[in-house]
Amino acid sequence: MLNAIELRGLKKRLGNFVLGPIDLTVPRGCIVGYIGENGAGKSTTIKLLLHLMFPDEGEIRLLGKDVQEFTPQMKKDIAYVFDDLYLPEDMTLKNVHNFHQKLYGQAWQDKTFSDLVARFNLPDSKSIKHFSRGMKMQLGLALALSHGARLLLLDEATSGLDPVIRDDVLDILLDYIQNENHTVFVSSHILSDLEKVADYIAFIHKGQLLFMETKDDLMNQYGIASLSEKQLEELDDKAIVGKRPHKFGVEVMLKRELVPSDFELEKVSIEEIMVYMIKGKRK
Amino acid sequence: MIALMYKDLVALKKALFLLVIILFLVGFYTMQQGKVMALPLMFMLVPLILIGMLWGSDTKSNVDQYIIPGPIKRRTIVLSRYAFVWIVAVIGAVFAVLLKLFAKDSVLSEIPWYLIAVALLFLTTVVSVIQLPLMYKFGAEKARLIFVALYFIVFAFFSYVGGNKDLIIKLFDRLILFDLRIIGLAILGVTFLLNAVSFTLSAAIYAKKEF
Amino acid sequence: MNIKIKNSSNDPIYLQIKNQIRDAILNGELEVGELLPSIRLLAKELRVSVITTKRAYDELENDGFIHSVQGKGSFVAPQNTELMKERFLKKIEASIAEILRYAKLAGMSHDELIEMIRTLESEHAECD
Repeated sequence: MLNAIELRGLKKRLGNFVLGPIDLTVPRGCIVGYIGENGAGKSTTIKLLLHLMFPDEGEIRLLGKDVQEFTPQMKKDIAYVFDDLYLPEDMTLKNVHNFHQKLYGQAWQDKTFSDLVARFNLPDSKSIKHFSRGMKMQLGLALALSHGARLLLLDEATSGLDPVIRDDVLDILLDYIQNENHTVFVSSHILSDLEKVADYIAFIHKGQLLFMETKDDLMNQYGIASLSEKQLEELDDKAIVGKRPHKFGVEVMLKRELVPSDFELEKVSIEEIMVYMIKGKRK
Repeated sequence: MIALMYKDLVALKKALFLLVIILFLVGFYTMQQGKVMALPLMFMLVPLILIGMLWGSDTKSNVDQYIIPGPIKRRTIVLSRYAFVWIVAVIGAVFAVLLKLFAKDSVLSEIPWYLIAVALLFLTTVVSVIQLPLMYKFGAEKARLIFVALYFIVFAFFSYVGGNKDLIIKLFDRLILFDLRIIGLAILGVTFLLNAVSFTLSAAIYAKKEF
Repeated sequence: MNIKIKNSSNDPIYLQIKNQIRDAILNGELEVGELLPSIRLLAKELRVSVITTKRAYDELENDGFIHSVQGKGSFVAPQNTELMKERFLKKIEASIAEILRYAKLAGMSHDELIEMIRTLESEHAECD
């Protein structure tokens, strides 16, 4: 078992929207950022992985097994956190704890859970409807990490959280990944903090997977330059990924290998790559 | 399964508490009026109300999306709903039999205990058994319309029973010609069959549902 | 050992890590046989990708600065002559810079300095 996630020709039609066909392989032991605009198909992909939706075509393998063959016991190996804690809001933390204890049985790790709850400072007897968004997310993460899962799926889980909590989450993910059998798959439309730790970036746009590459290669592949219109014309058309013309010149994202080596290029962020690529596709 | 029922109990904690109080109040009132038979019939409404509440709570929290990827089969999730109804039905049946034994009521005393028990099992599950597959099929929005329709049917039934006591007694007189034990067995059989068909239907609908 | 990552640097992050570990080995801060932090721990602490730290370690291993034992980790490799030479050249450079500074203060000429080195060398040879 070397791959945490394998998607082969995965296709799903939802009204006018078509996801895929997607082919994607996530090796175990890494963090993958699954990025794209809202409505690009990130959540649909994760729902397909979790068997909340069924593919029209293609194959989904998690931890080496076809998801259709997953037994309840095997599902304990998969953890997931959504953008909200989908539990009855009258439940208190204690109720939620009891519920998961009963749900996961032997696999449930009381100590891991209480340690995480203590670390996040979550209140014991308050019902979760009074939890802030950040607290719900922290509780969701604590629950996900307390049953010994080897694959953690996060669907927009950190969106809309304040920077301090996002930083905590980052720490927790890095702790989790210290075990080389653990894998994290994070979908998000904002990656400014995750881009620090992600090993791979998979980019989905309008239901199509544009690329999945190691983040280091990706960042080295592109550069940003501020040019005049005249300089721009001299450049190879293929080198230009996207541009932002303004009144005093034009900012372009370029492929480093296709421009002269003495060309001065600035480093790009993952967000910039995302923005320039999407805008580049519009024209 | 136990985890799901625990979740339902927590979600319905307040409602259940309220329901028990209401049942006691109604029970007290009917005792005073000497119409003890009305109380077991109240149990018909209990699963209807509880399932409606559970459905509302589950839809609001979107809990299905959370549970399905967890270590549980979709079938078990559906089963937990039915188990809830069955538990209420059994409580209702036991309750009615106890009432027959301890409270003197003209109608109840004529019917043997096992017939009361199976009649209660049938009456308390029948509405939910129709309701659940419909709810799984059409979802929360349309389910609300279905609720209203079902409430009307139940109330129509109540007023019919209330207004035609003679008819019921006549029916019993005719039925009494048969062996009552066979009638009891027949009702039990129909109840089992209805529940089994309904559960199979619901499980099949739920197995294909996307979230 | 301190490792600093500069986002403003034009060097890729793996190279920054590689160079700083190499320097620490060369200046003796890390000793031969010393166990280096695991790839995952280093990635966690520096908040960089595991792939980045793995690449830094891979290149250090290719250059002979470290060697990895499956399941045990990466250790500072016994330094080969080439490496030692580089290490000593660094020290010599630093010492000569100091000598030149003193020589200038004392007003010694270039020839006088070389003569001094030769005398010292022969004295050392007798001792041996």
